[in-house]
Amino acid sequence: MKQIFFLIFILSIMSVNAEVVTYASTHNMVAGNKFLHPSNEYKVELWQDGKMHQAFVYSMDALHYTNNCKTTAWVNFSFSGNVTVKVFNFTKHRQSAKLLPRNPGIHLMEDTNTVSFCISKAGQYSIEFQSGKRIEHPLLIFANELEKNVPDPEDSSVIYFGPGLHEIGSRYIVPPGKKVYLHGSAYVKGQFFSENSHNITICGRGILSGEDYPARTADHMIHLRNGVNILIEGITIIHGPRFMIVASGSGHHINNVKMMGWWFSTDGVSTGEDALIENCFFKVNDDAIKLYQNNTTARRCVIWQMENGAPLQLGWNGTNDYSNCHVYDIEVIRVEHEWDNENESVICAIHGGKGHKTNFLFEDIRIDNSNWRIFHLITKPNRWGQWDAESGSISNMVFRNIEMYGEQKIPSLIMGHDKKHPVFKLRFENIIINGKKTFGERNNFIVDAETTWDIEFK
Amino acid sequence: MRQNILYFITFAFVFYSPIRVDAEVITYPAPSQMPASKQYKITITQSNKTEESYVYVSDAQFPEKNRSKNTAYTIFSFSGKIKITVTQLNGTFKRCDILPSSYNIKTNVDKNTISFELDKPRNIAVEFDKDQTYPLLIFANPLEKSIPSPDDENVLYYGPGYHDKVDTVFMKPNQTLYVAGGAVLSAHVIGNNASNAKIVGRGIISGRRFGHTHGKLIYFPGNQSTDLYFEGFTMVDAPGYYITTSGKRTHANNVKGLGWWFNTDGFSFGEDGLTEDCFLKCNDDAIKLYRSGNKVYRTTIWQMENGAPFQISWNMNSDNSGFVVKDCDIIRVDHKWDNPNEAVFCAIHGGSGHMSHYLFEDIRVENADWKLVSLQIAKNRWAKADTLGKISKIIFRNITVTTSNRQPMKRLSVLNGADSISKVSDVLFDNVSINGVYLKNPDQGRIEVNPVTASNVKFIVTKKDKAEPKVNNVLKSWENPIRNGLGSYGQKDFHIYYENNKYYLTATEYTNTSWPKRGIVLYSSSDMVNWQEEKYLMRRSTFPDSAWYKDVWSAPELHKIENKYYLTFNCRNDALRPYKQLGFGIAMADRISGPYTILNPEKPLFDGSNASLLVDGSDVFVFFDKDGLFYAAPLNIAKASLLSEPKEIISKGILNEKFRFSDAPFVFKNVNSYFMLLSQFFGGYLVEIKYMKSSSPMGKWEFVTDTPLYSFKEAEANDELDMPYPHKNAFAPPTQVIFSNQVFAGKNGKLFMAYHSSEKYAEPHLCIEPMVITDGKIILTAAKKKIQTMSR
Repeated sequence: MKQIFFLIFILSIMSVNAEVVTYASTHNMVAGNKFLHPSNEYKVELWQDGKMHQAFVYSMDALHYTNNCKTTAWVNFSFSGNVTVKVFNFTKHRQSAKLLPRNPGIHLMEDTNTVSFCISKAGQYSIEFQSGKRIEHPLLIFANELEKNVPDPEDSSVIYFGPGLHEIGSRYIVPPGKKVYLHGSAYVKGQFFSENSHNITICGRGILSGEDYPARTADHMIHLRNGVNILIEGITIIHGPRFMIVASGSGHHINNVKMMGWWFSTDGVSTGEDALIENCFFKVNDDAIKLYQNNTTARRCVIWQMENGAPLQLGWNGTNDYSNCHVYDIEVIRVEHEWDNENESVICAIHGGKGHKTNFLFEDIRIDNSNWRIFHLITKPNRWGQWDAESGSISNMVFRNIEMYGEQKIPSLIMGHDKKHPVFKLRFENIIINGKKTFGERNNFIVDAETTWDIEFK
Repeated sequence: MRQNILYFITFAFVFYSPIRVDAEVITYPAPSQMPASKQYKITITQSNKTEESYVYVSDAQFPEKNRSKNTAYTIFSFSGKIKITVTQLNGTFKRCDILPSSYNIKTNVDKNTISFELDKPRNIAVEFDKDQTYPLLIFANPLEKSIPSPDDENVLYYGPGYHDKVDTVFMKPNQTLYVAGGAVLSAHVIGNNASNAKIVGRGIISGRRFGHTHGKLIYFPGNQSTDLYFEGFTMVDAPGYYITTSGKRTHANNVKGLGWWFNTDGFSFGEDGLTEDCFLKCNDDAIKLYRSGNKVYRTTIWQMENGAPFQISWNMNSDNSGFVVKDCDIIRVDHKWDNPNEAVFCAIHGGSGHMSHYLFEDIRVENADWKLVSLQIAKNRWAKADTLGKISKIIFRNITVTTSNRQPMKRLSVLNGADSISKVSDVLFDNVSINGVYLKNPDQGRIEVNPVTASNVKFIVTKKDKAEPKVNNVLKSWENPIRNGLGSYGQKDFHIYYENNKYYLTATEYTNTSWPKRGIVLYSSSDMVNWQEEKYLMRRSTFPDSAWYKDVWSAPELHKIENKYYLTFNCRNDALRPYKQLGFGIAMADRISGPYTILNPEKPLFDGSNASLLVDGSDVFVFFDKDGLFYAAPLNIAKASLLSEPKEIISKGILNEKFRFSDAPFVFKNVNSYFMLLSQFFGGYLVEIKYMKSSSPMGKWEFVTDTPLYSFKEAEANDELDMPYPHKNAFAPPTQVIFSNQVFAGKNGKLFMAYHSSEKYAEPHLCIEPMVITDGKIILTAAKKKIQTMSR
């Protein structure tokens, strides 16, 4: 009897709540457009309650020769309830499919050239048919929650980008108090900018593309200078010539933004003080999340780090003291590092300024498909920083429950530049490399005795 | 008696037959699947009869690295005397050469055709204007002696036409695979333990449709694959090795091969293999001299950019001896990379075997500009034996080498074992000449003989030098960057020193990540454009593991001070002090080429980067950067000691708002002023080269102008890598770019500035520009221009 009630309960939830929303592509989405075209590698169907929704599969070509992926494909939809994602694989890669982040709760059902799986939670997934540390033709699934508070196009406080292609140029100014809405079928070419503007929202399910600007030839994709109370939510940003999102000021909330770029300098998100970065996806070729300001929280993000940059970057510079950053529940699904450059590690600092970076907590971070170092925490004069001969340090940091599936090819590095620029009071708790707890053995960690102290492994 | 009569009758018939069997030309049809050359047409004339021989073309399969865009070839058989006429269908040419030069084949040129005569079978290359972009090979075979019957059940018979029904033809013992002229067999051939198997014919075995699978085109594994016979056919576009056999007594006669990939090694035969009258154009080791008793006669090799014509070992773990290579021609060696497998006679022995008794005799090597001999024992990518083996008893007798432009070979030959036990020993150079000059001793032969790991190296010369008169070219203009003979993986921090009409260069060396850095190499040049290795000044492998100077070797400089030569360097020990700051060291020698003794072997003089000397009469100063600031100190160079503590010469306190993080100070004196060049990197990848001036080396230094001497933007960075790397992203782009600059005085006291080309995404190389100082200002007349002209 209980069970029947339960069933009725479930059915009632489904009938009320279950929904799948897909978005049409714009007219410029045609074969031959290297920045974005329909995928000829994958087809995706979304099934719910016996009804099929065709999801448009976007695909873009790599832009730089060092990029390991040749293409990146994705689908973007919103849903509630359960949805079964059925992927048709037309690539020649027919190895058994894998889903990232690793999730034992999701069962893959494979057929000759399809794989299906059911998801009930919004998130970003990579479904992969190739194996190895480098894959060339990924397919990403961006499964969003249903949109809340969809604005009225006529609302004067809203800048509404409806379905279709919009070209807004490299400096589209967002006035204070405005909500910029990108409809799920909107494709916006250009960049948003504002200065000293408060209460700005940029949201929706649409795409913002920097394809018109080669590397470092234009501004950040969204650049909000000295902005207070900012929300950026739900959109997808691609082909940034510089950072995806840069906001200075305070009170910034970045939620469920999907970012994919190709260049050295397509960093992900750099926020001001009191910022929350959550539920975001990064496939970027420079630092993904910048931990440059006080009180930054980053959680529940999925990061695919390309050949350059760090998933979690504490910085090259830093004239002021920064503290109170909390990073947790991060899925680093791939790290394509293979250079022994300063910015190549999962958690990274090349602190070259006079500030003291202190009181950071990193916990519950999983690192998959990587063979490079996890930590690179050093102080060092560098050409981006304002080096101070007397001051600058890294201290009081806790790294807890960090698991890497695989071995580090080069050891992690903990080192100060000299005694005046030390790295101290770091606690490593439950760091697991390839199934084995590490306690700072020399093959796993270089800890410089001259310039560090109180480095503890538990 | 009866037999003799029969023999006589047969002989008489042959001799008096109206169709003279000993003068005949047989050409072959080509299957339509095989493309024809659009560039060459070939006809063969004998006794007033002229016929066309099909010219095949094989497009380069690895065009990023292959020097040739394609290779054309033709195949026919003949006896008697013939005239071959080649028509160049694509325009005109000034000269034509037939290689090997030792065949001494003279051509008649008539407009766009050339013709020449042959009276014996030959495999030759025809070159127009010495260009290798579109080579033409002619495989002029002898007539076939016995053609098997298609009905013979022991014969796998492939008649004219294109055969691609199977990917692999499997052979059994005693079988014959016959590939008739005009047949193209598009398949691998595998014969597991297939003793007495034969592959014969005038046809083609092609691996083209398989791409670069690394699979061997013809493969006879198993100890029982003995007494194999290969004759007459041509292999093209192999996906990996051409022929590999494991059993004894493989005999290859007049087999031809051309391929494109790294891994298209030529022949690797089991013991007592015999190679004769073959032709190989390949892009990895041509002939493996791995297993005892292998002999090679009258074979012609065109070695492409990778691999060695004669490879002694990569990873042999058994002892092998008794090798003969005789009467061979190496017609081209396209080497240009600093990889250890780039030498005509080569070993990179990483196995435990003892490889001995090699005789190389009567070998003509032409168009080989890189490295002659490299016999090394060291662990390598493919071999990691616990106990390394030896190499001994190597004779080079009557070897004639000519380089393409009569310049010295670009790279020093090397004899270098692993240690005092795993040695290279008993090496004889018996009448070995380069450009007509016989090698009389290691120095004169430009051979690095490691005193510890190589021994008993002897030279015999009984012939007279035939040196050609030296041509003294006057350098009027040149193109930057300058690469000719310099480090192929790129170099930075160049330092050039001019003495007795010769330029000497040292630099920070780079290498492929598979190979360790070698140390400091001294290069020399008579014109500062064409360089060659002169000497290894510091060889990393000879230093103790605990030495503070074991690694990095950045920004070396060479100075002559009071009749001694001083070499300075910036080093670190990567095992003991990884990622820490570099230290500064000094070494001294009586001669420019060394040997150099390190004056501060215990510890560095100071920590810092890019240390550089100023020699000011009898005073010596050292300048270096540390944490973005510059320091200077007077130096007692002979004692390798600082006369006072290093003093900050530029810093925030001195320069105020004009200060910014700076790198690589270089100081020189002009008249009574001191000039300092420096590099500044700006986020966003902009590099500016500025200069300061002072009346004293220790300061006060001031900017002469706010305008940079030159600057580099990222957009100007070359993003094409020249070199092959072990994997795609082995080349690491620097996160912070530094341009070291040097000013040196060359011929007639003319001033030049040396720096490296942009390094962001590609290897950095030497750039030299003329420079003048007018009214106390440095003037670069053509800053960053590609073409530079000597000032009057």
